[in-house]
Amino acid sequence: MKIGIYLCTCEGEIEKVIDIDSLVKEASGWSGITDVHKDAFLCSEDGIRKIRKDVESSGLERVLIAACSPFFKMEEFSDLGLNKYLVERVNIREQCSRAHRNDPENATKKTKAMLRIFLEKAKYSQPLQPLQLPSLRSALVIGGGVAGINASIDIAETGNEVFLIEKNPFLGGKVAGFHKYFPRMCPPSCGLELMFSKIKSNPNVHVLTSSEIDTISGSPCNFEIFIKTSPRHIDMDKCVLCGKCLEVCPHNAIVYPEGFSYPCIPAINKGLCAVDCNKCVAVCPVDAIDLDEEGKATNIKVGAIVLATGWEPFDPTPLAEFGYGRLENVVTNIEFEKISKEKKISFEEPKKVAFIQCVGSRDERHLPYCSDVCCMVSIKQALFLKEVNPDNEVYIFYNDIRTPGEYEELYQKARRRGTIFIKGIPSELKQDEPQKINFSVFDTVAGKRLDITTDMVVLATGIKPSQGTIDLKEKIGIVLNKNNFVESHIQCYPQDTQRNAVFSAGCCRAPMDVSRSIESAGAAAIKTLQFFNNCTEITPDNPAVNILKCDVCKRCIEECPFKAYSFDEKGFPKSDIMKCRRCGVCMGGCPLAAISLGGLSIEQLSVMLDVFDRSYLGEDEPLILGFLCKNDAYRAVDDAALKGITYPPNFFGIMVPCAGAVNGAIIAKAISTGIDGVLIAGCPDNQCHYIHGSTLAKARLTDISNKLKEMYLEPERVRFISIGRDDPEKFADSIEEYVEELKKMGRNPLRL
Amino acid sequence: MRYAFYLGCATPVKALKYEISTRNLAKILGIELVDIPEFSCCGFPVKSMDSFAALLMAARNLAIAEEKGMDIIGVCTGCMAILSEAKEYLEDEKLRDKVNEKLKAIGAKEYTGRVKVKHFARFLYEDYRLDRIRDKIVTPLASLEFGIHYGCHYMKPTHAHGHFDDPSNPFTIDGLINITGAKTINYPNKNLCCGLTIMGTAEDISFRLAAEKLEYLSSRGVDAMVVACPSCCIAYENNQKLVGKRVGKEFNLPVLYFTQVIGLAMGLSEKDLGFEFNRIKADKITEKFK
Amino acid sequence: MYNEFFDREKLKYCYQCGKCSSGCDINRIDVSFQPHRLLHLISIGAADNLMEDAGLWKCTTCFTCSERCPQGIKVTEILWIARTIAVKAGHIPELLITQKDILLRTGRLIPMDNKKRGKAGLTAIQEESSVVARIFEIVEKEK
Repeated sequence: MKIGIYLCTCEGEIEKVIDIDSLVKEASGWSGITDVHKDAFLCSEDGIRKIRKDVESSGLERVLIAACSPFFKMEEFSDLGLNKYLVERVNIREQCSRAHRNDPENATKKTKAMLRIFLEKAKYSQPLQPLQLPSLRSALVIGGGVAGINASIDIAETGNEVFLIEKNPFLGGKVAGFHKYFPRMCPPSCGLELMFSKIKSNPNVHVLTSSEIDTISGSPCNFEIFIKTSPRHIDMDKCVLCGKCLEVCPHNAIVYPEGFSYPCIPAINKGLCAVDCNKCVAVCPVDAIDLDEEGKATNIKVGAIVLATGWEPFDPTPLAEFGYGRLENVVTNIEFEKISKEKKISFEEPKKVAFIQCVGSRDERHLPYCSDVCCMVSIKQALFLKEVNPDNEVYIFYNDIRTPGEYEELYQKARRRGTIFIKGIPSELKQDEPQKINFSVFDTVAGKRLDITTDMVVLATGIKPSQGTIDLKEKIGIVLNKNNFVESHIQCYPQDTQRNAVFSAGCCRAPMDVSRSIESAGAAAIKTLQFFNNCTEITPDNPAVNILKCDVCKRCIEECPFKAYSFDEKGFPKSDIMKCRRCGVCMGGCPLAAISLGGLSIEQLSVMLDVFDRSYLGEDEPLILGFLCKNDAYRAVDDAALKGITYPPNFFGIMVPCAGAVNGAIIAKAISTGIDGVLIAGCPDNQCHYIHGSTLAKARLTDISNKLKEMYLEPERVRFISIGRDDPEKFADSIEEYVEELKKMGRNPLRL
Repeated sequence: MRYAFYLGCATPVKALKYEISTRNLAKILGIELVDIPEFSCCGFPVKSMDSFAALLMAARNLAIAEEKGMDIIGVCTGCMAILSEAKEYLEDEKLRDKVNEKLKAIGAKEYTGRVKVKHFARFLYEDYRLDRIRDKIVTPLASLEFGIHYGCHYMKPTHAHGHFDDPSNPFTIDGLINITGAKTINYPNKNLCCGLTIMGTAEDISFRLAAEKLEYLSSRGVDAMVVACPSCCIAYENNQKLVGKRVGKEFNLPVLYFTQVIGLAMGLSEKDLGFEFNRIKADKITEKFK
Repeated sequence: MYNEFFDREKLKYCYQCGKCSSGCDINRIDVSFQPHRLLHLISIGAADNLMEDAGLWKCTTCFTCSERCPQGIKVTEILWIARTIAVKAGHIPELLITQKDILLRTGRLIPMDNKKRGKAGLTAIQEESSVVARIFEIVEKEK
């Protein structure tokens, strides 16, 4: 095999520590090495050109770039004239010349060992080709509330097809039922109407109301969705909205739209009808009603899915002390919206209304989180009361008032309009006289007890994830967090659901107000578009199961953080190329080492261990082989160099996608062939980029410990540490300690 | 089935009518309540002095019942609350081991968690059951109306007792009284504490608390207040005159134990129900059955 | 400072909503007794003056606060434990001294009256037992 080795001195810096010239001389003598060159500035245009020339003229089949960390100059080294999987980056700067700058002799020895190992790895690399898997450029948006509507518009307006599915007969979700929404206090009809007109006028949007998902199958780029649609019983083309059916219906079975509703056609809930009533049929002037209409089943194929299944209000009945359901005029905040919108109670004749915050939210026994919007909602409702008649008396009993950013203005406005804010939550509501509610509350700021009698109490109850969200857990296999919201990476990837091509928007992910819901919908739409654009090229480094070895123990299926495995036609586990995120946890967990990643196989790791010079530092120095996860540990070790932190050259690091990708067989081989210590470094516990890869790596050490004990080797030779991205000091300190301990333990007796 | 009868400290001295009516009611219902001379104070008063000593006192009683192979039925809500709470604490293995070690040192047996603890009213509602009581009714009390005072320790703390009743909307003792045919009322300060535990340290507050309920029930015109704890009875009955004096009122509200009321419906005589010990005469009630 | 039953960690959950004081019937009658304030002082470690506070002894242990606390804090229990600390520091109400005396002597809180029992037709109950004294002895020895 023809291999070229290129050593960069990084403008002379690396050369100050490592004796590049001697390495060039030595490497030239290794078998198969066609070209060995030193360069001062390998990543320059000139440098790249030289490599490309060599590749062509010498017919190089593998190239080793011994230079800076593989995380630098990725663009520059991306096209050297041969398949990028045949190019090995060897980190001789960050993890060698800089890390061991005060020990040039040993740094050089380590570099030699590094070159030998990666040379061997390269020999076993395959020229993997990225796959071209076009995605269907269509999306399914589940949920027709404000988040779902906006996600649909955003996806459709960029030229892609969208199926918007909603279980109610009308779009609009909870917002459609509100009286006003903050901060501008507009009626929802205004905003929603604009959104609906965009949907109406865009042929890319297909709206399916009164519809629910039956099953979802397939994988990213190609999902197949089976949908069940309930009958509306009213012909959308014929209905002229005369309203006569609503007038005659004795059973409240007709849901009538408002002016801005979409679709603006009533729907009949046949479950509430009486047999043989037919009054509506009789009175309809255009014969639009068909009570015998049957439901429909449809199926669609889409490339990606957006979850926008929204929320449900918390029911305060279990908090019996607040008398909800027992006392008249104790209502929830969402009921108050309806009351004020439909003018069920006239607030023009002054009333006294008390709002009680945090009913159910921030409560260990019910919703342990803050529902985000309730403070603003109560303030909004207080402002409405004051607007209708300034003589309305309004009290807000709070725990903390949370009105961040410019919402503060509304809080101040509420105060200035005379709303009284009391920090103290009442313990029990009573009804001593009819039509009134009275309670006693301790004002913690005044240190005084207040006896309050009001006409109405509004309980500010919070936001709970909807049943629809919970149902999707089974149907799509998404992950819900402990509060049943869609699990996402809240800081960096809030739309992510840990499932490829499935994104989330709105309250199904976290309690949020309308403006944030719309923003999150836009973000989910962008992610969907990116998915459509990017998934045409799929990296080929996904895992493959060696079915000759596999005994179907199913561990890979169970441990995969992304549920990407399922059984193939032969009954063996297979990773879905689209669902897989290439973490390698399957490779690390397979008890028979039967799984290998495309770019890093068990075989490769094994041969790397074969050629690893266990005495590169001399007979008395212990050697530690490290597996560093690419997201945190490897970067932290690179960062050590940046910060001028040095550590002993006894440590030699290999990058793995995740600490969970390290297979026990490789560790056992390392120790049983004389390596003194093996270190597995992963992300700190709940920061693993592959959810539980790091935790699994730690847990698997127990098995490995037992195996080592059986081989009469000290289990302390293998250890796991969690290294955060900003923990290079921790890394360096632990290596120092580790080397000392290994020295005390003595040389690995199996080292020849 | 035999049950270890936990009398507590107050009932056998200060609430003889409760003891008498309970024993006779149990007899007629066929419930065997076994006296255990080894029982001692449950530990309630010691809780303010030393938490661990209080736990030991409770644990000792539990261990005794366990050794005799009987579950505990008690009449004082305070005792039952303390014993139930002790059971909950002793679910922790480390604490249990420590307690058992000390129990051994005082010559008691160990506690392993097998004993159940129930107030007599709870036992009647949950285990004996209303329909069996109904079957034994001889004199329906249809013309009577009562205001039940559950007291604070009967079902609270709910984490110790289990949620066998609902503090916001209690039903067990109402159920027991209703099954006799008598009516019971829901009233605004039904949950109000009797205040007896602070009688010695904050008498004024204690009396005012008692006065509130006496006032309401008197004005409501119920035939009697029904209680399930000797302390509550002291607060409302023994102290009724004092309390009245404190708030400038004169009360005359009979206070009966639930065992006395159910006993009436069973056809037990006034003597058998300790009516002679009623400080506020309940003649108006017994008249209705002559 | 507090004993093994004191759940210091749980007390940190208190966010001072005041619901305990709102529902406290003692506070209703005597506004100086504020359970939320006592909890706050204990939680921030400023409870030294609390030991002499008469308020500690006004709680009837009705458990309303504990049942309604949104953070599930056992308010009553914490107050009870605070009492034991006050007692150890020498701030013990007269009544408790008397009660302890009777308990140590007889093993009962209220002295038995077997004459009265006999008249009412009830069997006699043991008047004295050293059980409580022995328990206190063991607990004192621990210290």
